[in-house]
Parts: sequence; structure tokens; C-alpha cells
Amino acid sequence: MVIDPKHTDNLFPDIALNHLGPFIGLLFLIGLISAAYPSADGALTALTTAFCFDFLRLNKKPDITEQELKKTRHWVHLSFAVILLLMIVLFRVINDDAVIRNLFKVAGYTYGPLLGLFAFGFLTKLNIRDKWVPVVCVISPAIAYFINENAPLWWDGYKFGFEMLIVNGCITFAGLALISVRKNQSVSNL
Amino acid sequence: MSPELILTVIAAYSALLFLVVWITSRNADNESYFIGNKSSKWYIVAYGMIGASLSGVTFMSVPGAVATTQFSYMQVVFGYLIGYSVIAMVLMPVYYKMNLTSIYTYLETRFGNASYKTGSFFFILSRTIGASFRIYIVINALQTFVFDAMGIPFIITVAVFMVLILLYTYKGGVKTIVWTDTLQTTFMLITVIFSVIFISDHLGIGLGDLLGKVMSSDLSKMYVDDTLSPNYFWKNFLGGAFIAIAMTGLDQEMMQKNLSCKNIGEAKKNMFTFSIVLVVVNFLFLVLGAVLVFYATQNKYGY
Repeated sequence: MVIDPKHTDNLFPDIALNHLGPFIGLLFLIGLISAAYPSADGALTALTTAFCFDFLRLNKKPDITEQELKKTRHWVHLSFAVILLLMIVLFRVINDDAVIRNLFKVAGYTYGPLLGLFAFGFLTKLNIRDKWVPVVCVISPAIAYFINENAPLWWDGYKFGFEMLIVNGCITFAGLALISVRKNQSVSNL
Repeated sequence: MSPELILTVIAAYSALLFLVVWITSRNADNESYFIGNKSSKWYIVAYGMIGASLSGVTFMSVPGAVATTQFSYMQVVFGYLIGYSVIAMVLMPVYYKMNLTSIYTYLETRFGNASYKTGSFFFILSRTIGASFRIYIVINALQTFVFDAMGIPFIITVAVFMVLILLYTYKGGVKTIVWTDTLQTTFMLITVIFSVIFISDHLGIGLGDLLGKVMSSDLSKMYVDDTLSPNYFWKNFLGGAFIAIAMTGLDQEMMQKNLSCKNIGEAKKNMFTFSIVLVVVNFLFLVLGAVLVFYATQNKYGY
């Protein structure tokens, strides 16, 4: 096989843009552009929603008018657009593929705590000491990352793949179990 | 390809996008932005979610990976099916019952305020990095192929792109996005299908023989039984299931579109249809990868 396994990401773009003439190049370009827009629009909307509801608690303010809500929403939306813009420029400044890919991989580790939290909520009836949750959720992915980096050393070259997320979620789940309280105990007494 | 042609294509696509936005966001209010007035058609959401779950990164990585890992990615895709069923049968009924707009509100009700804020913050952090990464990959490619040659600096390219996005999302939100997503799905499918047809034609393989030729080649190997490989079946299959649960079911962006369906019944129909079609679409991406490898091998093409 003549294809360098490290550069398989270039296979489609390179063949499409440089080897088969303008028609397929144009096709590739359209696919690429149509993939770029939704990466941004969906994220902007979801980020704005999460921030407006979860941090500004706009839904919990009964006297807020439709107009005020709209104004706040626009400001949050604009702010996230600026943050995304700054991040993209930052990536460009870093200009190191390996570093940027690693950052993207680290961002994936935040799904472990989410998985652990929801699993604990759905699968157990236990209560937890709520204020300790941020601590568990920061430590768990850090442990997961540490295991991931050392696995080949510890276990005879074992490399984690997609199953790392499960490990990450389990560590969070175990952490939540550690800060759990029995059902009949009131959390406020602790 | 001349830079003028590329610019024209980008401009034409953007114009089409703005037309869709204009039509769908004329009467938009806050309710439309956050939850699509709970009136999205389930089949429109399902079709759009296909495109939304594939990014510019999948677009470049999945076909290329066939050269090294064959069709083993299908093991992950079959795992997705399990994950999507869990979302439809376990998570979504709770989201609908609690009438959530932000899915992290569940954590507040179940555990308390700190859990709630942590969950939401982790989503915001992850999405901010993830989205900027995905946009960066595409803009950087366009910059290299087109805008550098025209002497336009990177910062201008990014700024113009972000302004365009701002203009079309600030008003309609989710109500608009379920429609712009359908545009993306359509163009991605067109790109993949026509690329397969065009390249196999170039190689002299008839469309009728194509699937047989792909499936009888070594490239179509899906099942990996080597327990040490990162692509070992159970690692990929179970990993895929949990990736689907976490990155779709616990992700505000993907669930927000789902929650804009009229009721849980329609949302479930949406989820199941989306799951099945996504398997087919991912398979298409792999077939494209196989055809690309045929081309590369036949033309003694390497890096």
C-alpha cells in the first residue's frame, strides 16, 4: 500500500482537489462548506440556550418581558460568537496540528463526567452532597487522562480507543458514590 | 480551480442559506429560538440531524481511514444504534416529561444547583473548544487553497464567516437550524454519492459491480477479533454506544433539535429514523474511502 497511514486525512481532499479535475474538486468544496456552517450555527444556539437558562436563569424570572429576554439573548449570542472567533484565531496562532488535536481530544474528556452524572441519576436512587460534585467532575477526567497516557506502559502496550469514555464515566460514577448519602438522610444536614 | 470559481461557489451557497433563513425566521420569537415553538416536523429534524452529526472532520477522516483500518468503523456505527435506542427509550421520555429546554436542568432537580452548573459548564467548555476546532479545520483549508492566493489575511476570512453566521442565527435559533441542517445533509449526500459515482467511473468500474467489488476486497473487513487492537470489536461497539449516549443524548446541541418536536412520540420516531439512516450514510462514506484507495493503488499514488 502506498498510502502513508499518518496522512490518511489528506486522501479525500488531495485526490478530489488535485487529481480528478474541477468537477470533483467543486463537489468536495461544496461538501466542506456545507459542513462548516452547521458546526457554528448549532453550537452558537446551544451555547446561548445553556448560558441563558443555566447561568442567567432567565426562565426563573417571571417578570422579565419578551423584549428584555430577547435583548439578553442577543448579547449572549454575540459574546459566544466573539469567543469562538478568538478561539479560532488562537488555533491559527498556535499553528501546531498535534497541539490543536490534543486540545480537541481533551475537550472530549468533559463527556465522561456528564455520562457519570446522568448514569448515577438514572440508575441509583441515592442522593449526593451536591457541593462536592464540581470536585469529583474535575478530578475524574484528570484520572482518566492519566490512565490513558500511562496504559501502554502499565499494561503491555495496551492503547485505549473509544472505550476510554466508559472508563471516564465509571470513575465519575465511583466518585459520586463516594459522596453519596443514604436516601432517608437529608442532604441539608451535612 | 480558479479562486474566482471557489468564491462564487461560497457566495452562492451562502445566498441559498440566507434564503432558507429568511423564509424560516420571519415570525421568530424567543420561543422559536430556544425550542422551535415545539412545532418542528420530526422527519425534517431527523434528516437534518444526519448532516449535523457529521462535521468537516468526519468528512476528511472517515473515508481516508479505510486505507489503514478498513471498514472497522462500522463496529462503532453499530454501537451508535444501541446508544440511540437508549436515548429514545430512557433519556428523551424524561426530558419531555420534565418539559426541559436546557437538558442540564435534570441535574438540578435530581441533585442540586452545583451539579446542574457543573454539567452545563462542562457542555459549554467542550462545545466551545469543539466547535472552534471544527470551524478552524475548514476555514484553514479554505484559507490555504483560496484566500492566501488572493492576499486576504486569515483574520478577515474568519471575521466575515462569523458575521455571516451571526446574521443568520441570532433571530431564528433552533427553528431556523433544523432547516439549515437539511441543506447541509443534502449537499453532503450529493458530494459523497457523486464522488463515488465519478471516481468509480474514472476507474472503469460500473455502478452495478461497485458494491460487489468493494465487498469482496480486503478493505471491507469490518470485524476485528484481535483483543489488543484499539479497534477490537467489543471496544468499538460498546465505545460507540456510549459515545452516542454522551455526545448526542447528553449534549444540548443535539437534544435541542429533538426537543423541538411536537411530543415524545414524534421525537422517538425522529430518533429511530435518524439512527437507521445514519448507518447507511456512514457506510456510504466508507464505500467512498474504498473507491479512493482503489484509485490510489491503481495510480501508484502516495504521499
